[in-house]
Amino acid sequence: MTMTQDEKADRLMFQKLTQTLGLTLPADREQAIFEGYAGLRAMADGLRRPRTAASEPAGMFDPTTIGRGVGQ
Amino acid sequence: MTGVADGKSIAELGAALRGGSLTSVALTEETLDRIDRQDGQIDSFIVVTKERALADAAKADKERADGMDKGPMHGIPYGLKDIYDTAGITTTCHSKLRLENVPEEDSVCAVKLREAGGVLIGKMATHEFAFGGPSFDLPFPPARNPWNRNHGPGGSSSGSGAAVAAGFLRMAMGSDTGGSIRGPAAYCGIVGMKPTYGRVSRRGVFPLSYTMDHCGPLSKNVEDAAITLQCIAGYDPLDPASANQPVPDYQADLGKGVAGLKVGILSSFYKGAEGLSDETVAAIDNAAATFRNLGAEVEEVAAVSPYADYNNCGRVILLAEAYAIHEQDLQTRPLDYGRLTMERIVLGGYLTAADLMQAQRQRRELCEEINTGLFSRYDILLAPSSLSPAPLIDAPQQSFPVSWPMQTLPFNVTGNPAMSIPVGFSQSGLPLSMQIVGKYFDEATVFRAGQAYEQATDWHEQWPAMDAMADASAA
Repeated sequence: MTMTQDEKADRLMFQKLTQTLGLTLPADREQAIFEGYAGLRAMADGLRRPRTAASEPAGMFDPTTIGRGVGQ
Repeated sequence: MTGVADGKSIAELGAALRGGSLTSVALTEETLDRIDRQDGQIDSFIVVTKERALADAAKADKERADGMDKGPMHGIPYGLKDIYDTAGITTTCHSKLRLENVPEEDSVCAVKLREAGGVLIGKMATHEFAFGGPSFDLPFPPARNPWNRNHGPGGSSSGSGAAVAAGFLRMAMGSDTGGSIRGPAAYCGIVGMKPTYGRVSRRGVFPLSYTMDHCGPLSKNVEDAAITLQCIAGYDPLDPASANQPVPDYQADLGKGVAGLKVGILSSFYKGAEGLSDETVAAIDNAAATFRNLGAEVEEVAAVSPYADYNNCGRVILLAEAYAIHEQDLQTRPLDYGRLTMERIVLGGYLTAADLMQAQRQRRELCEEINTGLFSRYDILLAPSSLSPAPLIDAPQQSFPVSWPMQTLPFNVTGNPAMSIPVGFSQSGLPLSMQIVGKYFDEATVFRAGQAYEQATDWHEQWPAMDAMADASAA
């Protein structure tokens, strides 16, 4: 199976990141993890969009303010 | 169901114990006997704490004879998912990495249930580290679905769901990061309550994702869940997420019905979704009709953001946090994890700091959308817990499925209370389910609505044929 330029670039990036993370992936699991990486990358990229100051996440972890504006 | 317990609720068992027609020792012995005879079919327990259970039961009987009444859990058997620390009892997380882990202290929930007089029967099977499963490459077998053991019971609180559905226990504790209480409850046809984030202390429970982990009960009916939450809810200054909020009487509103309640069917989350079964749609439509017949004002509603936004946001946060927890072990002993767990958690390492922050910004918007938006118009929201019934236990699994049959993750993202209840059965005899979602810290209304529906139907009174399953296996 031949890879496109983009696929080759993705695979190289994946391998570089794996090395940076200090991970040793078993050969028989690398393809499944690469496919997961590509899917997650697409998902994370989809979160990049214009937002307002209201999406400021400070206080996110305080349950009394997690719903700021709800009147709690 | 036959025997001492005979399908009785926690409240009914408590009444029998208080009235003297039942002892906790007799109830516990029957529970242990049933598990001994039948759990080989569904593998719901990792360890049965027989000696501890009989000692707890004898203590409860003596306390009662001495005039002490610790409340509705006094003398009642229960189980703990094996990620809850238990002093002197192994807590394995269903993983080779923690086979020798014997905590010195109980988790807060274990303390509270012990102080309420509960009888710990054992530690329940889970997906490894509450994430990877069902898997056959772990030190213990995966739990199976009591309605059909060729199907999974859902996860990750798989043993808790299977044991309650099988009738071994009225209640077992689970944890829910993306649906791990509501999923097994849905697939096993029981009740699963994920309380508001911060309502129940997570101290002493092995984390999966710090900002999305919730502790809660899986139980046979809504009242059992309300009784349990009463025992375990409350502020814990040593849990950084714990909320210093008053805990109401969760049984006070049971039986008050839903007349006048404003109910939104969150149809934009599931209608048209890939994998949605016609049986699930029909079950939700029937449940909506039941609520209307009971006097609730029911209408379909659309969230502003598509389901995918909730899903993507939740999965990025969950994986980033899970990787941070497991980073060192993934670097040094990756092969000690089950394959599925390792392949899933490792993905979080590839996310960037900016990815996580963008997800958190999205999370803020989604919290506002549900709470300032929808909950300004509705008292509760309804949606399927799962798009379809339980899959085969050995169905092929991807490390990173893009779509997921569970519809539970949005309320881990927002932190709202959400409870799965049974709403029917598929033609193949597997349970169908619905989740009831409430406002922050308003579990009481969720219980009230769930019980009203429950009293109008009989799904919660159905039991799988465990005796027949065991007999067939023996033959």
